[in-house]
Amino acid sequence: MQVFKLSTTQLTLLSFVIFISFWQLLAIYLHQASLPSPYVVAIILFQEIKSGVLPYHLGITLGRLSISFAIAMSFGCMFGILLGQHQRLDAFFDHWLVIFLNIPALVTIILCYVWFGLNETAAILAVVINKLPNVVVTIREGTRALDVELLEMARSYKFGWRKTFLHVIWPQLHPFVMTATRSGLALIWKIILVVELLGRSNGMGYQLHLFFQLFDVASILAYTVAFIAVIQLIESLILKPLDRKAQQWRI
Amino acid sequence: MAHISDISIQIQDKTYADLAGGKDYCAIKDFNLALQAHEFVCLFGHSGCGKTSLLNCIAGLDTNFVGNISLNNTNTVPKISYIFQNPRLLPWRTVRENIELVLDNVQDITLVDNLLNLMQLEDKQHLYPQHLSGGMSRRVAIIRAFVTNPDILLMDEPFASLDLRTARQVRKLLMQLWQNRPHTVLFVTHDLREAIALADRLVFLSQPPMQVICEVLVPIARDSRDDTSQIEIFRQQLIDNHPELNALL
Repeated sequence: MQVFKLSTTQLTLLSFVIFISFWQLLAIYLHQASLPSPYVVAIILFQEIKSGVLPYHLGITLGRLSISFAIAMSFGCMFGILLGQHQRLDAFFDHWLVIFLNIPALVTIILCYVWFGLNETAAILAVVINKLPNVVVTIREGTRALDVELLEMARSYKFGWRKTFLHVIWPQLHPFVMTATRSGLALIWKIILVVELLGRSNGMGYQLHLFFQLFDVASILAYTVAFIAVIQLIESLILKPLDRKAQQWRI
Repeated sequence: MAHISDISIQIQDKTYADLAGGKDYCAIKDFNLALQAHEFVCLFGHSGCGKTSLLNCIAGLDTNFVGNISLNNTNTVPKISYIFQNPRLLPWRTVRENIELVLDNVQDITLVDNLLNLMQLEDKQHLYPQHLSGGMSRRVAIIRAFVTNPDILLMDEPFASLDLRTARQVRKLLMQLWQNRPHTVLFVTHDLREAIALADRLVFLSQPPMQVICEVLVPIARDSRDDTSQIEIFRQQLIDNHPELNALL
């Protein structure tokens, strides 16, 4: 079949065109305000970008995302490595992790707003608390899987802590860090929207809440498209090149 | 130069605690060995007699023992390089990067070039370990060990998993390198012929708790070690003259 001879890029493009066509046909068939056509959504997206409203709210949300992501990843990696290396510490904190992993995101968000007020710190803290246990668990598993023979080699050659971490531990943790990063980005996006929806007066979540009240599905979809586009950009401009560089030796 | 020093190894007791609550296991007891500068010593003993435990204690990988490893009878800890049973190269670093990683300063870079040249690896220096054969990986591990200019070089059956031909080739290159840069070497092996071919002195080890049964100097001249008949004759002499080694040989 001809379709099997297409390159990966052509196949991706074809898949995208089919998706948009399906959406367009469904919108025409239903002919309802609850499912606007891709064309209408594209017009609104363009207008929102041109007016500067969408970039402003997107920027606010991205700022929150960056800060909470950086905090969650840094502390998560640190605790994950510690727990992976020290059995007794892991035994002590294991139940804490299970508890935090199972607290619904909504509960954490509400409690943070109740305890710390409707402010930026509470919003970021809520996101960090939701993400941190996932990072810790992923990195802990990576640390447990570290190659003991390579660590012994590093010790016998007196590498020191910094050299051992950078050249022996970190490359082995890299796949786990990337997993935590990708799942983290996806999770944090979703949590941030709820955080903004419940207690902030700006950001994508706040805007979506506003559109929901106005039953403006076209704007909701326009913001969603912008959202997905940004995540795709982060994936292809930052994560994939980083991944490619780190995995070069496997080729 | 640090590597002209004598080294004294004294391990009074190395015991592994049985975490399951059973009897503790004493691997090494009253072990004493003095190594002279530039000496190539082969440790010969059965599997599981405690040779690797001994090397781990000397290398500082296991500090849970009673004893002392010292340089010139001072409190100075000797600088040690360790060649393990498998090469333990970092798969995400090229051959050259693996070697340079153990260096403290950039001045030794020319030394890396020399050693790569001597071990016939100059054209492989930018490859990752996964693209190397077993013999090449062993040679990289040997360079990595030599490049640090150690007081003592520990080698734990480094050719064990190589086929005979490759092992012979790498052994020959090792001897060339060692004659070029004669560090003090402690070499563990199961293979008596290999031990005779390499060593200045053979140290025979008992079953656990490991002790030295006897030490024998190898009288064969270095340039005659390729002659297998001489090695065979000496091996037979060992068996005939040392009845205490019967179980071992």
